[in-house]
Amino acid sequence: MKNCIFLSLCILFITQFTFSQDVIIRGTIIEKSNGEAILNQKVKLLRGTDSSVIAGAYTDENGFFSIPKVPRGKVIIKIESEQYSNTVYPVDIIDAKGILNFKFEMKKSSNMKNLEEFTVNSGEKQKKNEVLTGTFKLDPKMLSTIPNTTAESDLIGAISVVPGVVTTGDQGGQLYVRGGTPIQNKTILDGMTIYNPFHSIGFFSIFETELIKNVDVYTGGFDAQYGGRISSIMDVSYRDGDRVKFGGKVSTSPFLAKLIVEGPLQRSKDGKPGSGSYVFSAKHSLLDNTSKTLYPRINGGDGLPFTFTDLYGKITFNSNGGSKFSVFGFHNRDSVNFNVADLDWTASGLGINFVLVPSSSAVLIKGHVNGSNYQTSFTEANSQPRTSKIGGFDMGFDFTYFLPNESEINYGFNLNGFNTEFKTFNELQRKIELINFTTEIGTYVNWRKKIGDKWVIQPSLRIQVYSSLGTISPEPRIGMKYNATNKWRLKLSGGRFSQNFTSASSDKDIVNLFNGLLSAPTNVQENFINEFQQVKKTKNGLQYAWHAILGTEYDLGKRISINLEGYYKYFSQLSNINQNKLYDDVAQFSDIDDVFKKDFILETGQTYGGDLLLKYNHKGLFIWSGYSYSVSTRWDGFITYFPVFDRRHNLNFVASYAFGKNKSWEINGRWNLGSGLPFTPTAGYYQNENFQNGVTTDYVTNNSTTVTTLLGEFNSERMPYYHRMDVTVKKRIKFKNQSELEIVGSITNVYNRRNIFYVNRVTNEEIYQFPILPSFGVSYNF
Amino acid sequence: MKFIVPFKWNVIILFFITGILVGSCKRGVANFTLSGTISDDTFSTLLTGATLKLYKVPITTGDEILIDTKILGADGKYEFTFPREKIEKYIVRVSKDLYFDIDEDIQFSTLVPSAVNTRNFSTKAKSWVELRFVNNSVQSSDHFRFIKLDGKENCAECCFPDQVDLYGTAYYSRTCINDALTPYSIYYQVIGTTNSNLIEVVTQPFDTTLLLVNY
Repeated sequence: MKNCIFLSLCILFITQFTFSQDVIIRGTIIEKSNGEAILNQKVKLLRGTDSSVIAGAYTDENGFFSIPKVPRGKVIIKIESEQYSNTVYPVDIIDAKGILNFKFEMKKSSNMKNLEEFTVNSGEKQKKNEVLTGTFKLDPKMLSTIPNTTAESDLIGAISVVPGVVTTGDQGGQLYVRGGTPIQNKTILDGMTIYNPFHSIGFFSIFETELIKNVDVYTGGFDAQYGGRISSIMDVSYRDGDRVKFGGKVSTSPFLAKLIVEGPLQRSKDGKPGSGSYVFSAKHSLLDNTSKTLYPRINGGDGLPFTFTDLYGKITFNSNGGSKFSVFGFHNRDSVNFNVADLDWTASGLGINFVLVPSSSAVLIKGHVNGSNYQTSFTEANSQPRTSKIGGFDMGFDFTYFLPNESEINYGFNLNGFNTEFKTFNELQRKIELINFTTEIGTYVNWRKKIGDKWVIQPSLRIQVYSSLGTISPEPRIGMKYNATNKWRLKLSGGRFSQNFTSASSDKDIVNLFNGLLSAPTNVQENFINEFQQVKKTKNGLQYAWHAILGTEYDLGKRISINLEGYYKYFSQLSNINQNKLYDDVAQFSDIDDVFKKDFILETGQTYGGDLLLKYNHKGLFIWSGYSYSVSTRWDGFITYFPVFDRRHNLNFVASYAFGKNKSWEINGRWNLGSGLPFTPTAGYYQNENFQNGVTTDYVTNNSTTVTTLLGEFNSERMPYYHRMDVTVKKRIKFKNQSELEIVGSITNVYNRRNIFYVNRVTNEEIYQFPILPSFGVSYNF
Repeated sequence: MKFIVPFKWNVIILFFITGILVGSCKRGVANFTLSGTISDDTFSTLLTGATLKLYKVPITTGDEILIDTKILGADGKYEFTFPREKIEKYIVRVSKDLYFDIDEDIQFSTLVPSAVNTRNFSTKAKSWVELRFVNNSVQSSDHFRFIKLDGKENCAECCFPDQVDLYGTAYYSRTCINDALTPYSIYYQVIGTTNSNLIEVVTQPFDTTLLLVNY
């Protein structure tokens, strides 16, 4: 810890004296009505004499922009926006060096044409300046557009239509991103790692949709700023509370009820944003009470025995110079009570975020310090409970230095420590307990350089130090983009990735309610054999992967954009629960190979495929259509098998249309078509003689009543195609006091498709996923 | 608009497509290759015409399942290639008329899939010795004792692991197996007399050699 503080002070010191040798114009842009930062806003710097463009910049998620190397003389800062009133601000640069700070409060334009179009167009600006391979940016508008399984919009609904994302079931299913399992996907909320972002029921996340400012989903090939996971990153940013006026939202539906309140910490003067804000949200599920009555066809009339509660609060302090300091905390609780199994999990966290804009330095400093814990227990009938806990802290600093031509350098470090406790019982009711404390230090440098108008290159390097394991993982990454024409862009990215965490449940489980976590296991085989039949000496139980992505973007005018990507991920080392374990790891079985004795096993795997995304947006009609082709395989040392999430074809079609006076009506639809997931067929049955009378049992005449299933080749067959259509209709009613009532009606599985959930192997009874499921909700924004 | 992809991009695209194609090749079938030679230690040559059988013992079952059978050629070499499965051990069995059988366990954990696993075995030709003891003036109180000093042990056809006592026996004959061209010796005593001796013969391949004691 002392070393880290010393390191951060050194970086601050170096930063202060390295990057302050010219004139810099920088500032923040916020929305006047609520003080919220405006992101992705273009800022132009014009020459005072002839209004020719000198330079430009875009605002980040904090509304911050910086234009370095500004020449002396008269210049004009121009902020053009379709959503806000244009701003022009002349500046006279006299000194040869120095930093000029500005703050712009933008007022919503009265003649704004269409919010939806603006949302997409602002995203267009990033396309030419950022590499964006495997990256999908979801904004609040899109989150509310995509129908979820219920009348409630939720992040999980939007994530599940991202190309490359596969879900394995309506209830209790998991999300898999381009061949990565849930444990290989890192979810971050304002810098804090969220260990379990989704509730057990599978169609609600812990996130509050109304508070989400931005979600970046990196399905692979992400830059060195992110580490600690080998497949994907989901970076969620919450907005701050309203700095001008008190407000909020209450809503209810058969599934849940929620409340959001927000407002300024001090009374606002002259309608201007104050120096601080608060926001609080709470939601609680109702479906354990309502589902039996309202949905008697679900689970044979047993309803949905899922309950959860989510609490979140944040206080933010803002300075005039753009600096910001936030304290936030959350608590999530989840419970499932089936007749044969009970699951409970809770998660809590407290964190501090800050954005520092030093008055005398060109560098933007972001930091976070947080601590969180997650614990879960799972009890099945006639067995001892399984428990898993993780608690830890995370501290990180990120420094951004803005370069000319909309380029930048990011660098920083991250220190985190966590202890994991895992307790389970084997078939002999023998307790197996693993307790570990692990620390990791990650440092990175990320350089994004725009060369002329055509090229964007982004080399980056991350050094991930697993100090408890004595392992250093150098992780080079590369990203490149070529703006071939105004409409056509080519891009690629790739790199090496590593992670510490291992799931406490097997990847081979289809529905997995128990989401325990472990740090890298040490009880693994001495040598492991990869799918190339190479024998590797095991150095540690970490997981490693390599990614390569090649893609292209094409804009068919302003309304249609196409994104096509091909990718390949090689998981060179995966750790997993050893399902081949048949012997205790004792001297008696020294002749037996490790793969039959160790608790965990190292495997390899690969995923390749292509994702196509087509977006259309015009006059209230928004279409999002994504097709994914993917092949995932895993090699467990003996066979290559298709993992449970290997969906060959996946098509998502989302359409939203706003109509009526003031476009107060909105109809949204989503159709998902997915090829069958793999399953293990039943090869046959046999009577299982239990030899109740020992050696005197007459197995010739004895007629055993126990039937045992003989399984066929693992995951060698496929389920039927999955398809489902969901429709949502919304009506917004605005009142004179600016409050708004929204009425939502939705139908999940409109044509009542019988998608197979599972088949009882003994009775051959088919259990289906959700039947047609109408829902109704109402919310009031004040 | 006509647009030509720059040369550098051609290279990069080709590189990635190649990478994806290479990456997508079918893999994941691990095989073991077990090879070696079987030698004839009796004549210091390679064994030919023998039958090799490779068995697998699936984990926890104890069942022996035949994987493959080979007939040794003139070079005495063999090679088996078989899939790496969830196996506890493999067994190599070699048989040839007038030669001792080979029965060797190969533990799963000692085999490497990416390399040729060499296991050389050897055997010897069979030979026999006839132990013939003749008492020229038999009396009921005669006590003849002998113990084997050299000769093959621990085999199905082997005999006399311990000392043997004969009482009042006029004629005794027993044929025992031995490695060819190796010594077979006994030490005998006629109890109560000074008649004792160590007798050794070298057994001949595929034949029976007489070891005669007259007392």
